[in-house]
Amino acid sequence: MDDFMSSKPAVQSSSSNLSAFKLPGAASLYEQLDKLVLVCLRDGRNFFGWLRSFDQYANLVLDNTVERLTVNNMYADVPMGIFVIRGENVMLLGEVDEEKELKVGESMTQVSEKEIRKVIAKVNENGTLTKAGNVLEWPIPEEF
Amino acid sequence: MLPLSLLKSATGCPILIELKNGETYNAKLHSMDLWMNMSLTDAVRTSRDGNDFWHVPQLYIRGNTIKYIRVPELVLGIVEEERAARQQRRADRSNRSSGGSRRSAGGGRNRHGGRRDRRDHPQWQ
Repeated sequence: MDDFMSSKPAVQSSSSNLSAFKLPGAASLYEQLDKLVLVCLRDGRNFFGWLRSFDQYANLVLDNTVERLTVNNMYADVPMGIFVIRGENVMLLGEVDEEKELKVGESMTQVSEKEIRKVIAKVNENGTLTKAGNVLEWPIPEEF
Repeated sequence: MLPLSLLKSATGCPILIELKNGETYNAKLHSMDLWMNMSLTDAVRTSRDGNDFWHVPQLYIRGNTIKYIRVPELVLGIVEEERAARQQRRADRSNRSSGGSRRSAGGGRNRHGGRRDRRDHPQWQ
């Protein structure tokens, strides 16, 4: 069962000083406050966390953050606590569909961090791990 | 609480910074500014591959090189305390202005060394 999903932070963000960003009819991060979001960084890392705050540069504050490492159909969640992410490093941010998140075990198996790092190390010997976490074999097949 | 304000509240706390080049710094935050430039003390620098370690007693990091910062949970407690203190001060100030006389408010300001006079300048002592 997802630890980070059930551990919704007890303290909610006080949206009072962020209401300056609230523009009716406009899309902004304001709607994503206190929601579970997936943040993909430019270096290929994926973080799940509760969005607590943001600013005009899209610097983010995430609570109960978890880094998800994925290889093939295995994944591991590494708890990381409170994160302040500098906006320019964010590739995308999206709200997590909690229902779909609960069903993640159907298509993928959860393993421990240690195991997945072993797999990643082994894979890096034989081939290259693409940023999406899938194995790219070496030599690259001709069709690519 | 804005991200930079959260970091400001974290001064004095140990934090972990990862830079864009992949190096991580575990250190105590001494101070920071609007551009996320930081000065840190007692840092442990870890190389990108996690194999090399350095101890760096004093460190200055330029804000634009930072990828992300991990902050300990106790900072949330500090933020809450500051918020409560700020609200308390606001309540006190409104009570004082509505209830108390103007003179007492002025006296309070001067007591805290509010307005400085030319006569107070050391040259004139």
